[in-house]
Amino acid sequence: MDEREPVVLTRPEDLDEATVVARAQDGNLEAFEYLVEAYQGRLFRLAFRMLHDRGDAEDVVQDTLVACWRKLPLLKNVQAFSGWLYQMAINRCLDSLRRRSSQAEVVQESATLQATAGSSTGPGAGGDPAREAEISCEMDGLATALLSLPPEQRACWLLREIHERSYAEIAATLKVSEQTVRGRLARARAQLAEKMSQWQ
Amino acid sequence: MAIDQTIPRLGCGRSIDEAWAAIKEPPTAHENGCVQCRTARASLANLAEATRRLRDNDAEDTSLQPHHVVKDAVMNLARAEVRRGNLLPVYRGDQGGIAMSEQAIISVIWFGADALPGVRARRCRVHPVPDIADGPRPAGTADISVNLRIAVASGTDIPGTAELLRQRIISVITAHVGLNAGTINITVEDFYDV
Repeated sequence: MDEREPVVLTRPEDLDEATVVARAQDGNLEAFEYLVEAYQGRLFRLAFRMLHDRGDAEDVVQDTLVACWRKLPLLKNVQAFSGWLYQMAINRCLDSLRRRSSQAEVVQESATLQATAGSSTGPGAGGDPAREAEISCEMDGLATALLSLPPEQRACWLLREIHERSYAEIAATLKVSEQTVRGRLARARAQLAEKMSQWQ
Repeated sequence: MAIDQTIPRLGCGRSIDEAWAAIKEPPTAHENGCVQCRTARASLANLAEATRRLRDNDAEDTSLQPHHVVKDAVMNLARAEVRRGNLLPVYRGDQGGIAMSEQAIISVIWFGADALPGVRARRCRVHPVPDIADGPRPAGTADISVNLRIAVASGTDIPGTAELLRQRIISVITAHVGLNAGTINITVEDFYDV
């Protein structure tokens, strides 16, 4: 090998995530940028379903990723990276809701949901416009019902059902016991199921 | 805030959790005969279906992404606050010296390690070895010590690979940085493919 060939590192997409995280910890910007791209969508979807506001959700994503860059060297276990990121994002969502709670929270009608505007082709609708409309309406109904849950329950439900985190991960993220996670999830499901059946 | 640990129960005494866990199974004799269980099963199954749709929709919905200015702002800040680590004296002569950032040296070490199959170089620290001589010294005689953490593919011959890696690190540091690598400590912290 020519020892003086230019120093070109293996691209982050060809490495395992833990290695990319470790290189970002040591200040490699390319590795960090890869992580930003890998997680910004997930964090946005979590924050948007928590807060129901694009601007607030983007603020949460930006604050979380800035904090991630600054605190990254202190993360001891690279395997815990995604849980650590979710934890910072959820904490910021809960803070944002607490700041809001001084003002009466108005739950917008599902018609103003930007999330599903024009982009949802309901899976399994088979191109039937009436069925697609029904599915879209059902999803809007669930998204709206979600906003009626207490924030901690909503966080539990989103982490489990939309982001598919394990009970142990959710417990660590929210700093509560797994037992508490189970209780919150059960209550969230009971309330959502009841709300959904009202619209049948 | 006091947390209520009770799981909601149906009128027949079953918990919502039990009903939820069983919605994919065929109904039991009790569920067939119990109106509350039948109702709960139907509405939970409905919720499970709506949940699956929302999850699939959100994952594919291109509008559920932050605006690109978010990433731009984050990366601008990261570049402004980039961490270069310590400065290591590389050369001292009569006319002045040359120092190199730890991060630049680490990049060279990663590059050396990346060429080895089955090795993923992770966190790295580089320290100057304290000078013994006081006077000026020619280039290429300073020593640095390297602490490198790596992950390897399972089934890797670790002692053999570590020795190869050590030789690679010595040669890239000599070629690219013009320094002698003194001690090179390698810690295998993980199997990256398990």
